[in-house]
Amino acid sequence: MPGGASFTPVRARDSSFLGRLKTESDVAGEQSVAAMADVPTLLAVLRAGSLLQRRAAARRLAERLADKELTSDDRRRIQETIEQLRDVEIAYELLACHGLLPGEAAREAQRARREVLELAARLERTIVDYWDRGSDDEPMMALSGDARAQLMLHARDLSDVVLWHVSALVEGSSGATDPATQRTLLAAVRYAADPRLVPALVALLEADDSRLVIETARAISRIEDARVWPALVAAYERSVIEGERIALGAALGRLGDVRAAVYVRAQLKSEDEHVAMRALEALRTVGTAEDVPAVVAILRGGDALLATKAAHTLGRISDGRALSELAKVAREAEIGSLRAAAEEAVHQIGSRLVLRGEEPRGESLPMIASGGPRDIVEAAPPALTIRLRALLRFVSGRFWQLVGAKERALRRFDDAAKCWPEWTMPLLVAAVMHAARDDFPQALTLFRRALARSRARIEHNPLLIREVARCFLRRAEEVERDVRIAIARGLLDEVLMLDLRRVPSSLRFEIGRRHELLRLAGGG
Amino acid sequence: MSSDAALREALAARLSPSPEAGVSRASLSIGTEQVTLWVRSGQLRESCTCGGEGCDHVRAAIAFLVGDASALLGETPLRGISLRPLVVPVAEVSALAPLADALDELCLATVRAGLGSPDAPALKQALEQLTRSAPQPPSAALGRWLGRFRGAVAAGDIGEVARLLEGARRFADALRSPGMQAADVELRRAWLGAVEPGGVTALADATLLELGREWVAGPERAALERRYLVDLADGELYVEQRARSDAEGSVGPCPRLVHVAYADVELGHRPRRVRLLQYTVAIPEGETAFQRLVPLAVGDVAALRGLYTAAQAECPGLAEPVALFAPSELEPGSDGTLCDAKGERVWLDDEQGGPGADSLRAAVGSADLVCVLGRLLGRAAGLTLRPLSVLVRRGAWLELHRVT
Repeated sequence: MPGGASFTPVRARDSSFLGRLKTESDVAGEQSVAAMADVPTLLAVLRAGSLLQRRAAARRLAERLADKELTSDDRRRIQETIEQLRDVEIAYELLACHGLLPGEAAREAQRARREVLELAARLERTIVDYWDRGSDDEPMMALSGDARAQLMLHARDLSDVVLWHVSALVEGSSGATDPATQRTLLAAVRYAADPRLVPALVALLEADDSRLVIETARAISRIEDARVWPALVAAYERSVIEGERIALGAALGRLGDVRAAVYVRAQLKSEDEHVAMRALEALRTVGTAEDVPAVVAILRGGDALLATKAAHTLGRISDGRALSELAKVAREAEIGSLRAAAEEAVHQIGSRLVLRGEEPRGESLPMIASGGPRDIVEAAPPALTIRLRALLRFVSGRFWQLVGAKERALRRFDDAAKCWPEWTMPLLVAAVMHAARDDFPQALTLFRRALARSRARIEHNPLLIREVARCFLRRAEEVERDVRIAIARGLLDEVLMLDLRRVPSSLRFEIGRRHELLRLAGGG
Repeated sequence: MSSDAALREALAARLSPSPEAGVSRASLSIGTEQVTLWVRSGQLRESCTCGGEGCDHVRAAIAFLVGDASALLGETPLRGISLRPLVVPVAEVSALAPLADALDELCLATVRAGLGSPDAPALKQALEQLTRSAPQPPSAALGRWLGRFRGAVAAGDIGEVARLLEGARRFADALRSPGMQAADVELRRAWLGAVEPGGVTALADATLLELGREWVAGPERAALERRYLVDLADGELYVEQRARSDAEGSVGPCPRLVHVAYADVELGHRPRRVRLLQYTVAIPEGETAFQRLVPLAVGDVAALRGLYTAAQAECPGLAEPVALFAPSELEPGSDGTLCDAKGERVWLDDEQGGPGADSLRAAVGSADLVCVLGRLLGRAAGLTLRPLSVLVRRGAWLELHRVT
């Protein structure tokens, strides 16, 4: 039984506006997100607040969007920020905001929600059959990883039946559960944030398998529920395994309890690379301005993966001293994912400084050329006749594509690409055609050629980058099924080097999850 | 392929995966154990009441069903089966004298050390002696008693420690009792879990609704899982219990409807322990099953107190009564209580050193509380409920939410 002292929350001292900002409050004079009306402040909280504050800000923005008196300027500001933001922790709330915005984003959000609810209705039927008639295939595991992740992002809209079944799988009482299935399900529920999952997750915090505890800590700490904090404190106080203790400490940090800060800081110096990496991630929730020099040193180091994680951590710590280094990385990094992480961190720090009423030391907020394509080498265009010939072949290809003669269309696109190798359009259209036929190896070849020529343009096009990510993921799944783990991991390493901020959360999440699994399977 | 694997494959091919077509589940009595076999995902699944995996009972059952005479007669697989005795022989009971001494020693050590020093060496030594003297592995009841005792000592709960020691003292007396008095036999059975004639009764053709689960301390922290099921016909509450190390428990989510074809029910204190042997599971769609819980709930605190007192008198030290309580109000605040219509209160406790009202409120959410399933605890403040699940009304619709 936990002792009295350990059962008192250990809060970080933050007397700034953000530190004192409640999500909701009935106390006179106390500021809360729920009562906030100013859109720029809400948008800053949406970027730079704690998880609970960001969630509350997204809910409040949705309320403001429904308000007829909102000015067009404020509406535009909200739209720009929400379309730019890729925060998977609040993806559910952001989708609700998207649904209230005009244009393509709103239609996309409404379509995504409709599809999930249709899938959930079908799933509910199969779950009932699974139990009533003893069907052979367990319905959740029969879904693809990203469909499962997408479904669980909308957990709060799902029926009790689906959640009971997911809880049974997580707890291991479905009759067909093994630890691998439990871990897969736990990863899928990481961002579900549904209180109905709490009893099953609390039970799993007691598991003997450390990897299950780590995944459970990640999932449970994102749920706003009175049962979560005592369960995490008890698990943290009794934990002795480094990775597990770091994950539990980070989970407590997410709830505002920073009792693990000293321990995590010490683990950052661990000789075990895996432990140090987990500590670097944990600093996102328990880290303070004191930790910035150590994290900046990792950002400057040569390892791209560590540098990307360091950039994310600096964004969450949000201390102005990291700005110049992050801006430099955002300008100079060749790797898309690192550049994206640095850009996002600069925006987060900027928002946090605004909320604290601070200014960056010694310089104004660095300007980052974000949003525009930045291909380093722009080859001179070929002669007009060559371009015309390529265009003619491309148009001919589109014609054959429209009439359904796909092979002939692909040949025309190939001809067009040969004619004008720098022009990526034929390659991309052909790649998308191959992907639509589930011919992922061929699609990958073409996407790679297009990425080599015009990576930034593709990264900035949400439809194209989604297709690229999907293609890499599906091919990695195929290769993994053939037990070629190293190749599958290589494919995911490759796609994770791209700027995936415009890829849907569920797909990005599944790529990350599978990459982590393969990394563990490969012992890396 | 080994002969075992071949036999398993042959039986898997014979059994139908669907209950509508052919034989989908086979259950056989092998010695004193019950073996159940079925097919899921093309694989033969098994459960045996001995708790073992791939045990001799299962092998004998498979061989019998496949009709492999050589496996049955040639190798005589039954020879390897270790059968639990139906009756604990008197000689064995007398062999338990060191256990009785260890219990006495623990009572003495606790009184001497007091609750101010839970880490006192004398107390630790007495607990070690008790663990050594107990039959190996210790019975679930004894394991749970040890878990409760350690928890009560750590929390400095004098009342709970006294109740547990009183139960232990009576058990020690029963172990030393020279005759085979019915009360002594019953007490031994409750503590040691021995299967005696008349110690187990059958439950057949019943529909149970599982409405709550919890992990409780046994020899180690959170060592035992309990699932609480109510018989929708007569309202009796049962508990299904399994150790964390047991791979096989019954399957299904919580809540679930369990249609029991055959189950063993241990006689003894309530809630009685059930072992599901042949059953099917269904998801409780709609609210019909939940509606049937409402009239089963107790409406006043005096009745809960009576239930608790009777259980403690029947089996001190082991009884952990569970009740469905329909309060009229959940008072606000993290240390809030449940009140009945007369204004009498039951405290709420999460058994982890924290108040239980916040947990209950989290499970209730924005709905209206109808009734609470909870385990009754005797605390210094008064009768206390550890909430396990809650039935709520959202609009006109009843929902069951787990608290633990």
